[in-house]
Amino acid sequence: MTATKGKEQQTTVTPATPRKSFRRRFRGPIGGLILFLVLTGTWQWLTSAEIIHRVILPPPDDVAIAFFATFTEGFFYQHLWVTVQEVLIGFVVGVVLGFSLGALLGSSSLAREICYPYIVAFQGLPKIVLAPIFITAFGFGMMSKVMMAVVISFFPLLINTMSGLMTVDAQSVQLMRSLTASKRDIFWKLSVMHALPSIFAGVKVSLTLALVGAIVGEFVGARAGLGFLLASYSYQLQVDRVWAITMVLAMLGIILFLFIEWVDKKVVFWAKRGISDNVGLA
Amino acid sequence: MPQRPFIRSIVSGPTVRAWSSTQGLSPTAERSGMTTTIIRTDGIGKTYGTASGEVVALQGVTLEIEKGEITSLLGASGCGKTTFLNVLAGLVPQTTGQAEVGGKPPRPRREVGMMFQSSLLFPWRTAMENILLPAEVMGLPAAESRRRAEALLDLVGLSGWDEKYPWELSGGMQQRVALARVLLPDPDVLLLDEPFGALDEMTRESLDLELTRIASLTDKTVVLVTHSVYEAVMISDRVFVFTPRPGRLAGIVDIPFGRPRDLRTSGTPAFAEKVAEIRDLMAGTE
Repeated sequence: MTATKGKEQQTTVTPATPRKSFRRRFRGPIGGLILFLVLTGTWQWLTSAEIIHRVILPPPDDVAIAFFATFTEGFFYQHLWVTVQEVLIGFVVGVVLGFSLGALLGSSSLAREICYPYIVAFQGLPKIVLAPIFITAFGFGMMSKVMMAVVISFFPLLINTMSGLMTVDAQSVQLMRSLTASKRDIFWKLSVMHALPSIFAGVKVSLTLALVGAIVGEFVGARAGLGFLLASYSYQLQVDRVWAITMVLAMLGIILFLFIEWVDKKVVFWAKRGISDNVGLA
Repeated sequence: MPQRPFIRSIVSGPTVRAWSSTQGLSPTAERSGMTTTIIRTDGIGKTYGTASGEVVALQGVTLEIEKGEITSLLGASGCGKTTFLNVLAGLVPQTTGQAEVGGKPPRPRREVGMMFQSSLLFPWRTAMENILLPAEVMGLPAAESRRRAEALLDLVGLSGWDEKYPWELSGGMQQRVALARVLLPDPDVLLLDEPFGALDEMTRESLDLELTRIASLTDKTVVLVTHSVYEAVMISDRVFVFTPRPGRLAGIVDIPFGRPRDLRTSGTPAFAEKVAEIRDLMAGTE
């Protein structure tokens, strides 16, 4: 017995992480910085040589000043807070809705057969066209933007939850059944866990789309929010401010995305490894 | 739930005998003539409806297996032996015939454990959490299950590996964890569907011997599906040989080698004779 165990231990391979050399390690960040300098330099040159007019593309230093000025103004934070609320509420509702519908469609072939034509139709629809309808229906306040965020963001999660649940292998289900598992146990302890990597991929897309939905809603008709602020600056031809708000929105998107990515790594830590599991046995 | 204590006692090593859930029926007693039939089938048949018509996977399989016996279902691929095992497990309903496992019609229950060709360990669970899965699903007492799982991990030679994830284990170790998982609820019957079939030969041999050792210690009734004549003769008390398409019982071969066995058993002339006998039986069925 001990001998066999010793043999087994030897055959277990710990994945080696080779120490990267300094050059290999930093070539990405350094290259990125060089690219940034080249792009900003070109931008500066295009505007100062008046190849592109300042009203269309203001010089980078103007944008930088406008960007920092934006953060000193109190009303900016009110608008930011409105947009953040719309995005987060829309995202959470969209995720709950998308997961529930995806779970229903993923576990029932009857539900799938009934809903499939509607899913295809809805997938083809450019959801932005719903914005004017929602403004009319839910008004100029936050509600219509939340609805836009929900409608745009729930869909990828629905699809990913559904397809994730449908790829559970029959053998694992047999195993659960042989352990006298109830349908509920099979769903929560096997199917959902198995679908989690796919679900999280959907969540990432949903979050980005929730931001899109909220901003589109604000463009079409709003009294507050970063989309509203951006549109107002645009009408006033304060182009440096438009660019500054655009950068704020980009940052907001990146922060939200990085947060989800962090949660993803914590929750679905096995995803990449899990694929290689059982390969030797298949 | 049966009215028996979940665990008789927690001990590891050679005294694991105490885990046995049988009441006074040891393998020794069986050999002296006191036997109880635990699995009984009568004319089991299974027909699958496919797009191109009906396929008869299994036809008229009648057999009896005694408590504490180690048996193999041997046959070429597609001979319905896995289907038969699934019928015994209650995972697939038979089309014709009657089956009884432990005196009841087959259905998934705690007294019957099943192991598959792939370890089917969940990658989001550690070895320990995988072993404890049956306890969670069946609602067994947590603290006792945990203690039992630790003893089982030791029994399969993996103590200290409890916090490892499946991808950190070799194929053989994964199947050892799967073996501990199937043993956790202390089933009387182990239904094994080529559990070591995908492993390399050396690992498979050592796990086969390991399996017979554990089955003897804990007095399990084992039904192993295999397509390897060698493996069947190596571990079984009796071998049920199946014919291909449709699966029928071609014959039953007694393997009177006793237990425990070791790798030397396979070098004896008697072993070679048994292998030849089974090969002849299989050749006659084609």
